[in-house]
Amino acid sequence: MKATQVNVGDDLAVAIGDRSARLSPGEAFRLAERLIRQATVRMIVEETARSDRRARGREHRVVTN
Amino acid sequence: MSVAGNRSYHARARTRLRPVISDDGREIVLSVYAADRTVAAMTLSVSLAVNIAGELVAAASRRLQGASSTRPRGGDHRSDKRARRDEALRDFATLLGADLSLEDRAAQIIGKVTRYRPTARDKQGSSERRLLHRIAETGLPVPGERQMRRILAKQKNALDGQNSALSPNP
Repeated sequence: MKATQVNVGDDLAVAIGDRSARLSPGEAFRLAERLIRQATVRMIVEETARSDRRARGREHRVVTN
Repeated sequence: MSVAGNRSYHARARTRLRPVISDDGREIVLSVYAADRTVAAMTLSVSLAVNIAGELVAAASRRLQGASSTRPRGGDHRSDKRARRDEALRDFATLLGADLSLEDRAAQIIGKVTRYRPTARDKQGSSERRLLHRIAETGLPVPGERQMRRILAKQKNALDGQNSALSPNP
């Protein structure tokens, strides 16, 4: 069931693998909004994790020195 | 809605595929659901999620722009052409004998405009040929008798108005 490709057609059909769901413009905007919101949350989480790792690395270097 | 129509509506609603975003805190998954089960799913990276969102917004905007530019939204879409044609018809009426009634005038114009076949030299031709050319180049159909009378009557009313405005007060 896990697909490897997503396509968005001009007719607003979102195709995942061999299945596609056709959307209205309003539904497309809502889906886009949710994707951007969740991508933003992911970015913030990843950025926070990265800076935490960096901070822990600095602490580790200070302790070993 | 009838009972049968209601049933088919709910059947369509059940089988209709819909995309759903889920996020378990670790990954973004875009799934396609039919009724209450997933029929396809894909894990998205952040950049892919943003790209798909961009494509969705672009496609939806194109759809909305297309809808607003091509769909007729009421009103007379040929009003400019119609105004040009009617003006030419009224100018044409001034070339006809002043003693004609409105009905005769309308019938004569309809006959001439219907018989008219444009030629390349009409633009430089007589005033009658030039006016017939102006009427024909609008591409609009020749008005019927009743409509023609109405078009010509507008000129008559306007002239009457002008004359009464010009006439000295008793």
